[in-house]
Amino acid sequence: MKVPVFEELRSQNLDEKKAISITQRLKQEKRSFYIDLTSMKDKNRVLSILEHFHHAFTCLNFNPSFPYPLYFITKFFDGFKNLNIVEKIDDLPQHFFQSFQRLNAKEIKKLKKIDIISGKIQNIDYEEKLKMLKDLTSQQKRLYEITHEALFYEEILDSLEKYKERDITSINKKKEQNEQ
Amino acid sequence: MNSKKLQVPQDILEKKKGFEDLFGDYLTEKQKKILTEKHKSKLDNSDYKIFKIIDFLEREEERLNKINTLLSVKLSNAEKFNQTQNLINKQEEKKSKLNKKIVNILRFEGSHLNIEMGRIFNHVFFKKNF
Repeated sequence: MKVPVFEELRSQNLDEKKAISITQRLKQEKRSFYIDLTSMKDKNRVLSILEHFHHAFTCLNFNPSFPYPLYFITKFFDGFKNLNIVEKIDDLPQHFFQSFQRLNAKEIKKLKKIDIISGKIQNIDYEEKLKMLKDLTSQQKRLYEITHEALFYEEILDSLEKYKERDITSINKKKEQNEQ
Repeated sequence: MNSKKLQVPQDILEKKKGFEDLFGDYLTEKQKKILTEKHKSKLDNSDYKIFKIIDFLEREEERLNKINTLLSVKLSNAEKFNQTQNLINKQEEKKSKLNKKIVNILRFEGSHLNIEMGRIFNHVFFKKNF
């Protein structure tokens, strides 16, 4: 059991097979990782690596955000297909950068507890839950739009009713003038 | 300019702990060295590091707990007791009622819109002044 701090994943020739084997390893690990692609200046090469990883994640049903995040460091393709991408190493969350010595009994107990919770999270069906979350948010957005529209109509109706009273009085006046 | 440094006795120095910066000019090089070493050792103290890692582990536990409750408890509860669709239906009903009322007012013979439309019609087809 290791402390879930950041660790760099170093690998040469990140092809499709390698991406799948790395993803299989990541599924078992309970730690956050990052892959540094800043040395690669060829945009197409970076794109192919990201696509390999995206394909591997969907095939193996691996979520790169829960329970521990996996980050790619590159200046290209920010927000590429739900992958966590940052421009430089300083942009990574500082929460996972920790230096530590040998753990004592109290800390090991805490770590065991963390291990159990992360195991629980790993067993959750992300696809279903995230879809549910998206549905709920889209419903909330629809409610906001409709309420906004109804309020707009209400304001129009108020102002029109004021005009209507004025128009009726003016018509009555005209009728009286014509009769005279 | 070489100014003579005051020699502060050790017992007074002990009393003035925490105010070293204020009377730093009166300290000799040797005393300064001792103080910086003390400060360094305080920073490298293992207790401080242990506190940091415990702090990190506690924050991590809290983070994971929050994710777990969101994905397992809160989302399923939200789905079970979700009233958003009912509210949407209510708002849509209200919207259609308001629409009808607005149309009725606009169709009224002497309405502001009718008068303006009449003016435009007259101008376009009968070349009357606006």
